[in-house]
Amino acid sequence: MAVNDFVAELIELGHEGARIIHPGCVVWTWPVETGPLLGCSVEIGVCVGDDYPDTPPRGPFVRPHLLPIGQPGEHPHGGVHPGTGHGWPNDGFQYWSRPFNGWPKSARNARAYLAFLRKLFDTLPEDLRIQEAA
Amino acid sequence: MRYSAALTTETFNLLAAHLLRPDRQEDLCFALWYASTGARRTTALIAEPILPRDGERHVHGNASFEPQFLDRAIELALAKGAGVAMLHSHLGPGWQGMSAHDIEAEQGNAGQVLAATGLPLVGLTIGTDGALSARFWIRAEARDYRREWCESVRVVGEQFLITFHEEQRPAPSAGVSQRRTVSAWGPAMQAKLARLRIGIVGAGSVGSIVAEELVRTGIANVRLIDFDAIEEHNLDRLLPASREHIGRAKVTILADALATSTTAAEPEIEPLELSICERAGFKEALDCDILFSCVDRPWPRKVLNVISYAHLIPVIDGGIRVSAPSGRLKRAHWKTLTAAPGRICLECSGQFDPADVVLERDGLLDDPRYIETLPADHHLRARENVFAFSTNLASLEVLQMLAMVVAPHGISTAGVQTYHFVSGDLDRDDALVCEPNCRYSTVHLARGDNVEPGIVEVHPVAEEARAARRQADAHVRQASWWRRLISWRSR
Repeated sequence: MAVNDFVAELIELGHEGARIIHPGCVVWTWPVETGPLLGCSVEIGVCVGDDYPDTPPRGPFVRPHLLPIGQPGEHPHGGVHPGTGHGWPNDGFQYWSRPFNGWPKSARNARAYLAFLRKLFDTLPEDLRIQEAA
Repeated sequence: MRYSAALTTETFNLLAAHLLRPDRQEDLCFALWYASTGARRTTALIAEPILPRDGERHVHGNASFEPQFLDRAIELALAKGAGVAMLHSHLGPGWQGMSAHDIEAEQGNAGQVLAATGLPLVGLTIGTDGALSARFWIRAEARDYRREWCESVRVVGEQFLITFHEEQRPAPSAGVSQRRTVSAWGPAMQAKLARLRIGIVGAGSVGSIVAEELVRTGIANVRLIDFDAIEEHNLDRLLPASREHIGRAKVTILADALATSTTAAEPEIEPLELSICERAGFKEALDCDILFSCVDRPWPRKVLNVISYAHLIPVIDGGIRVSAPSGRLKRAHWKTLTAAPGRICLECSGQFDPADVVLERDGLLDDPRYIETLPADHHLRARENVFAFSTNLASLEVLQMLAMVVAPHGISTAGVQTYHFVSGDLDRDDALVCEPNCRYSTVHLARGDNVEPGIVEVHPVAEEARAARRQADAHVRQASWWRRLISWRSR
């Protein structure tokens, strides 16, 4: 199963808590390493398709809510949706529908996906704080 | 169920170098094969030749092998989840029959191979001209194995070579309506072209013209795959459509039109209201010898890329990009290429981005609210098109296919072609190759059903479109019933 491969890769990278909570859906705690939330921890959820790593996992599901939902434009403001309704089983998350456009030239693995996440968190609004957002 | 076999040019060259001996003796070897299971055809994808080591086979005019050679082939097959194919050469050209010895050798080992691998033994014979013939040995009952001839054997690469079983796929007669066409490349090539089973994925502006060109050229067996309906905004580009067809399935209207324009004596034109991204549509595509990708979405392109490399069915793709900010034409170009082993794939050539595949599967590309959030010049927002652009692209796509099959002077590839409308230039690039970490041209190559294609059982958008048509048809039937009733009462 492709999702098992992704979880195994995450665990190998030190994210021992990564677990499958629903078919194709993985959750783990992410210690933010860059950007305005440096030092905070958030929960990251990811949907992994059966054809991973041909296709990348979708954009992340994030808990707690960090960004306003339904705004126009690109990251960080636009493309933020309620977590439910996109194949995600758990409320409390919000869905950042960011396509991983560099996937074919990446290593096509969890390490590449984490680098993508780091970039997303590095480019959040400078004044963003977790306690303000939830 | 029909049967076929396919292999890459690279695999073919390895096998031919071993089997076609300069001393004009017959020879043999084994190979691994993987299954490609279509709706009505199973193909053995011959993937890895297993050549004999010293003492494993004997050449004495004919050829024979020691049991340990077959044991080694079975061991390799087990390790890779593959089947075993047995190949030998004959000293004549064309599709080869089987001698009593040939039958005994294959039938006698079919049980051991099936028991060990779970897959039937596939036998292949190569003639002196390189033509391959093939058969599956299917278990009829205990210790009884029945030979099922393949309808064709395909060699896929820069060139597309195909050998047909003359009884299962007999050459059609070319009538007066094909006279000019046949005079261009001769009756033998016409017989080859006419017998191809060609799938057209997407029956829109490009697909409908591709289909028209194919059936007029004499291609008898055309499969049309599209779930979409004709809408008013299609009428400026859709060849067979008129106002009365609005709301009807594109493939149905196209199939009706093709039935009147075909030059084939016995045409088989199948309209399939399916998406290539749902299992039923995917399986129908796997029955084809060549596919045309006339779609404008990333997900179907990704599925077609899997088919071209994992299932060895060449895919001819094309796409149009028009840039017209504020309604003023700035740029327009269209690109076509053939995805097949040894050629650049659709992902590496930028014809789709896997990240967009994920967005489409998530339903976001069908969500107008999401599309509105994208920048105005984003490629996922582009909808501009002109009939003349589509006709030119369709023609270039069909020419790609003809070059690959006809290969005049041995030249079988037109490269990646890009036509620039503003300057009138047609660029051609032959040097493009896949990225080093491309999975399609490496780990997926010829692995068939073992590769996860990323499809769904039921495509929600396709299902919605079919349901809407069923409902509209029911209303039309009901209205017709009321009209008849009123007409009867008024009499």
